[in-house]
Amino acid sequence: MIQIAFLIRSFNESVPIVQESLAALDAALASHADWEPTVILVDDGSRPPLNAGERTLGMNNADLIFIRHPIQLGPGAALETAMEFVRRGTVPVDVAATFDPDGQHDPIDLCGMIGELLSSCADPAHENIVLMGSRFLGKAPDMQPRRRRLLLAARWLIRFFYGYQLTDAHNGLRVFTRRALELIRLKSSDFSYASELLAELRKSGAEIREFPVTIRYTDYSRTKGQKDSNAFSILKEMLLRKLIP
Amino acid sequence: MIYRILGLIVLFYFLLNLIGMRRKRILAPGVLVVYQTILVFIILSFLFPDGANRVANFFGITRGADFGIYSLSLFFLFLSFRLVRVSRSGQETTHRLVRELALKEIMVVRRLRT
Repeated sequence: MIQIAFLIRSFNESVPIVQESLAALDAALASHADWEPTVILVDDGSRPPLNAGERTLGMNNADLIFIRHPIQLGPGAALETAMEFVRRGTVPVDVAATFDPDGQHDPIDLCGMIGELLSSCADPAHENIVLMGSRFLGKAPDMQPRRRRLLLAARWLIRFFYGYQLTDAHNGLRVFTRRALELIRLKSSDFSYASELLAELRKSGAEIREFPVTIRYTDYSRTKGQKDSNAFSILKEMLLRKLIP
Repeated sequence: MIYRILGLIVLFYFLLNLIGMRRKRILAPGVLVVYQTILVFIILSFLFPDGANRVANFFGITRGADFGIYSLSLFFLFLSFRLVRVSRSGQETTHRLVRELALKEIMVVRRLRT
């Protein structure tokens, strides 16, 4: 059995939307009987706290491990908490996958990415490979032109700062081999973690591949997701981390 | 003259504070040396304005005041880099602490279908 961990972070998410995302993941997992999945959900100090009881978030095909930050730290720090849980080896994990429970991501895409990684990687404990979702190779039907322009600009900045030629550097769908996860540490707590992640992957010598995915923009995900104005604070943080490592 | 006296009082107050910090080991010795050297230089240039001109000439700058501006610009750059490092380190410590607390109290919801 392949041990898969799904790393999910949540901050003030609507419970029905989280339930819907987990139900979609549960349904996608039903067709992968050879996987041993565990969902690691980090509630980043939501007010009111996310209720993770069996009736609220229980799944048919995966155990759920619920971790709660007593105060809000930010999306990067929440992801690092989930990664740290995996690194400590409380639950055996071969492959870890990240996605956002705000309805933007399709768990079927994520399962496809895991399948793709597993088919090309014989030993996730020793091979340093990361597969990243790309909406520009796949689809993002309702993406606003301004967001598209920002992401295209980010593509050039990532190439300039980190040397990776990625089509979509700020996509929340990612799949890591265990080895890749062990070699990185995230210190950025806000949304700039996506850029820091690339810097860490570059430092660790990870092989990064891309996989076409579909991103669905809904009214809910637009209000909950990254704001376009975050681009400036991400750029500022990228520059600061380059100037003052 | 009054400005020079007031300035010297403020500068000596900062110098005494720095000496206190050295005793209490609040700042790293290297950082203290940088702060003290700059303060002593400012105090000396308050007391002997012509001396500042001579030091400036030694570094190839005509006026002592210009030399002061260039040195202070470098000092503020050093200070802002240091502040970023200190604030980042404080934030990382808080995050590590919160993470440890969170990882001590995990909740497991077993799958419904076994």
